[in-house]
Amino acid sequence: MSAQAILMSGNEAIARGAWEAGVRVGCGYPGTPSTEILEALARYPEVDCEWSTNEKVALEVAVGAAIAGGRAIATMKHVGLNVAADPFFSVAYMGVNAGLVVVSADDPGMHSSQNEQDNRLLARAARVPLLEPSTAQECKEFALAAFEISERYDTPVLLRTTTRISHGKGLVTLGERRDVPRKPYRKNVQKNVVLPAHGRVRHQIIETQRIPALEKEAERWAQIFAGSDDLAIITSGAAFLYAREAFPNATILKLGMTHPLPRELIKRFCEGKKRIVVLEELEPYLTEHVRALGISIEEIPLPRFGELSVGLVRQAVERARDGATPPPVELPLLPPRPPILCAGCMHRGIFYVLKQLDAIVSGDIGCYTLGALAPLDAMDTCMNMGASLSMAHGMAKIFSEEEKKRLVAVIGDSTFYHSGVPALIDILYNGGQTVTIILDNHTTAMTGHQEHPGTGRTIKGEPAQIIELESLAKGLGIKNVQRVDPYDLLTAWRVVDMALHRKEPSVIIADAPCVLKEKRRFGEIVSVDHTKCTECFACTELGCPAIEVRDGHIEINKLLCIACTHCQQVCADCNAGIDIPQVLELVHQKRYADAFKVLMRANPFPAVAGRVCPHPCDHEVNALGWPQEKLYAERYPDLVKEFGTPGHPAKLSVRDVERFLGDYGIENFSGAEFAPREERPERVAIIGAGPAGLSAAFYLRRRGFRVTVFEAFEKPGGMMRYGIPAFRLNKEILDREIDRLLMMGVEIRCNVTVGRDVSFAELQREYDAVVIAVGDSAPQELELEGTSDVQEGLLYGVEFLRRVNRGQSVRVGRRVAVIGGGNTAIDCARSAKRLGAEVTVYYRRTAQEMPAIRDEIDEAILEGVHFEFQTNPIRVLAHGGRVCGLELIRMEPGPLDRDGRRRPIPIPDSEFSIDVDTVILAIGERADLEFLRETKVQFAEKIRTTFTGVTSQSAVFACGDVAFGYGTVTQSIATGRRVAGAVAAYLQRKNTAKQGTK
Amino acid sequence: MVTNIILVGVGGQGSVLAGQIIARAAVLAGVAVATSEVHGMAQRGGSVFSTVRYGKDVLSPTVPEGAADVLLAFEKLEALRYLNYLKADGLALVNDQRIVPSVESLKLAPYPDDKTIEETLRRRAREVLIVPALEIAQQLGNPALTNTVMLGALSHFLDLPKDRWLQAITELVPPKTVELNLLAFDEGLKWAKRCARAPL
Repeated sequence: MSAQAILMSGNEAIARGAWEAGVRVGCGYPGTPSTEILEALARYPEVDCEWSTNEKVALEVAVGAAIAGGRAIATMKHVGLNVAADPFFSVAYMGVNAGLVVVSADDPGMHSSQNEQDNRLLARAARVPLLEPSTAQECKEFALAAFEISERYDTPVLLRTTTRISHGKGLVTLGERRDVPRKPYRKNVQKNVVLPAHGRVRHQIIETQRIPALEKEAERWAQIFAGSDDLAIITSGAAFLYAREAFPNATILKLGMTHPLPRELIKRFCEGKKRIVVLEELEPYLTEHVRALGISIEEIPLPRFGELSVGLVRQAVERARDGATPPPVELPLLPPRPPILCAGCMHRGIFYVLKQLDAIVSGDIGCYTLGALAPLDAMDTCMNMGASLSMAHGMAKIFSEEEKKRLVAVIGDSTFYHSGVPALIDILYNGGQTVTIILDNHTTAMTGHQEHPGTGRTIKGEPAQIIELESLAKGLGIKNVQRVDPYDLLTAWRVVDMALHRKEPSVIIADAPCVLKEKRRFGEIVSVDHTKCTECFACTELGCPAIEVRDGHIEINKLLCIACTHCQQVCADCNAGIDIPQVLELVHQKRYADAFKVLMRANPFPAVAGRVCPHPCDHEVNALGWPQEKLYAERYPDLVKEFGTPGHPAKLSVRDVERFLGDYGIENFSGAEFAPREERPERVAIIGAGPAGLSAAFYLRRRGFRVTVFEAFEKPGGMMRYGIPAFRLNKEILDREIDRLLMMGVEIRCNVTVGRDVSFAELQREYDAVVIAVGDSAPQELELEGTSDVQEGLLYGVEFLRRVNRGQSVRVGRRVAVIGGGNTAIDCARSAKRLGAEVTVYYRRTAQEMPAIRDEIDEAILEGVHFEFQTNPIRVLAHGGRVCGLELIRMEPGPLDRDGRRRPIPIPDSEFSIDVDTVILAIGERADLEFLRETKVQFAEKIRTTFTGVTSQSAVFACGDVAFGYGTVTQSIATGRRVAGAVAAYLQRKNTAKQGTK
Repeated sequence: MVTNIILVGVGGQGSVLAGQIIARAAVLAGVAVATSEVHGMAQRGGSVFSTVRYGKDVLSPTVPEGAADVLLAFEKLEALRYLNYLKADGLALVNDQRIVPSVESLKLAPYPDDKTIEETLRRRAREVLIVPALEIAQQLGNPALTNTVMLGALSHFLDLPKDRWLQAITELVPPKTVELNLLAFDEGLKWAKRCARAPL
């Protein structure tokens, strides 16, 4: 091996070949997989290189240089040649003076492209000779020779690679740069001015002289690998590598120049061959041409899409799964890992805002195309470079006023320079009103941070004039040009929202550098305060890779987080995961209907929640460390005045805002507004019409599924109806909010108990998916001495509340002891108080540890309920079957238990007795899961699920307390919404799989 | 004889540089090499896959399914994803690190537990080695050394001379980190000698 051989990528080798050929000018526009060619070429000081604004400009600059007498090269990805097609076709007629080479790097398999067009067809269409190297060494040799061919035949030459050739590395033998003198420039109007009269002559020359001569030339670029006559293969480019490796003994004709084809040589090669196959990627380009020569080639089942491989080629030729490949091991279903916007990426802020605004987004090509993926899901279209603006302008011509108010074009800085500018002029000239957001991250990020007209540097790193976006837009005559900080979500929201309501075109420049390039870190890494986190998962709607879910809890990956603050601004400590910042802004602007619709995206029961939610949203600082209370007060003094917190007039009560909007919604929305836009055929059964089940029903129906809810009791509502007493929640409000679901077409079947009236297996058979949301409706039993003989005076909390809520007659004695510290206990105590009893709540831990909602405890105290803390019952005292007293013991904090709390332990000899005539046991509830015994659904106390509610049984899901046990209405609602997403994803996947097998 | 290595991991983990080091070591050892890697969109935190092939008859830079001698995985889930590229009696060298994919991805399927991962790998590979590379790198003071620890372990199984490895590392890692990287390589190699059965 020569000492001069070094490992190079195909792209680097092309640059090397061009350099050795004495190239003077290199132009291009970045695009995977072509980018590194020009980057490598720019490192040679002898070559004048530039990143041109687009491929058309690049090729025109190169043509100019070649006509002027210096060798020139233009590089681009396959779709770039579409942009440059106009000069490409014309320069073919003109011919060159000094050598001109165009490189097209195609992308079969679409590793980083929007299509997999085969540019061999463009060479033929343009009548341009085409070279296809197969190795890095050939990349260098072919690039070098391309300039000679170009000059010898007076034609541009297309050098076509594919991703594997461009990014594959191999050993390359280096040579010296040739001293190629500049060719003299001579004015030649007949050649260089493409008047029709000139063109007619030029075309004739091409067809009668240039192409026949090149056909002879093509023979020099063909290689025959002698082998057995049993199999003869015709191939080129990357396909040659696969062919040679799969069939080392076959006879192979490897074509280096594939336009024009060496027809005579191909005929000679095929003579006497028994079996001839053509192996090529993508279009049947060679196949058709060889067939046209009258040669009979074997039909082989090669796909016309995607990349080839040794395995595929072997399989196609041998017509069977090749023996060399072992059968694949069956893998478990793996989570996919698609590309994703970086942690802290500025694009995320803008796409989040566009999602908040439910915008119709005409997108463009760049990293930010990833904004189209879930959960951001904030792009409607993306077609080609620069199309965002012009497509939006076209949409606006057809859209309704309502749709137009949601229409936004989003384009990157480099893409805007590339081809957004003419489209912006078009919008302005033709009276469009499109809102254009330029995502200006100061670089061409996706292709690896290339310079562009806005960066102030050339490809060589030299200082350059900055073409300033703001002055450019203003200079064109756009009146509303604004710069926003994409890390300030509320301001960005306001700017975009305002632009959407204008009757003139706007340009918004979201201005912040690419965090991958600048390696930015904004401040202290974010951490989660788990005592505050409601696990609403609102922060995960950002799709930030630094926000992880581990064992069902939100965690921030400290290695990835750069403290961009996006998640801190999104977090609002809402149990239901409502977008509180946007709701407050809309209420502040008195846009109540809009605000109500935003509420309904997360919570279909805002009027209920506005009354019963324990409102963790009033934390001064939220779970991710953002000073929300202070910010609300600063931004919305009007709201603080209207919705102040009793006792804290300067503190906004978000729950009161929610209640206000909930009531507004009851008055102004029937539910028909939330009916699905499209019906879907799949049927989903939901067991349990509590907050979780009904929330799941709402969000599944909203997506168009046919939803039936099975409820064991006589009315829907679950704990909202049978747990929460009327003095906390007027049931008429609940009915009105449930009515909305009925209006949407949700079917609720009451008085049906699954496991008794209908079997679980039947639901599995009849429905495409089943959601279990039965809640914790059975009382937790307490081991208490003396209960066996009691017939009267001993009650269980949930049952007691259910009777009260049903309006059934309930009798309690004069003195009532309530055992427990949760919401059920407090609701029991307050209900018993209303029945005229003297009530004391006994709780085994301290007052601070009481899990019940703080407000409710305070209310209970005001109403005269007594509390005894650190006290536990040990025996019920009865007389003649009637409760007459209770024996208790004092408790003290003991050792830490698993959840980090101190387990209360009895203080020896501290027993004491009290006189009571009713004991209400409210120490907790559990689920009755007997009906799951015969199924594969795994459960212990709770059903085992993933954080979205997927169970161990396919097509069966669970949400609410039966799976998560959060124990509040609003958190159960959040789990219902989450499970709806999981069910939809499952049914979608099932559907796709079905289509795939068709 | 051609040796086929596939390198898998998560975009940003540095698998491209690791591949370059292997290729460079092979070039220095005087054998022909071909590599392939994917750039652009796929790199943004996504699953990445690259190949290194060296030996006398190397032509194509890609490794077909079922043909890799070594699966060098910088992340466990990715090891599983590309398992079928490994030949039936191949070697799986897996960095003992779990990088949790996005919340959106976890909605579609959970991250498999360690037991499932190892058992599935064993159904294909002759030998599965879970290398505590991240831990070793952290002990050396820099988690960025993980890949070099993995290369040290890999070198135990390949027929490339150690001095060529060291030279390749010296040439390709950032100059300030050469010493540490050489140390990390040695640690990886020592670990493999201790825990592995035999070179390929």
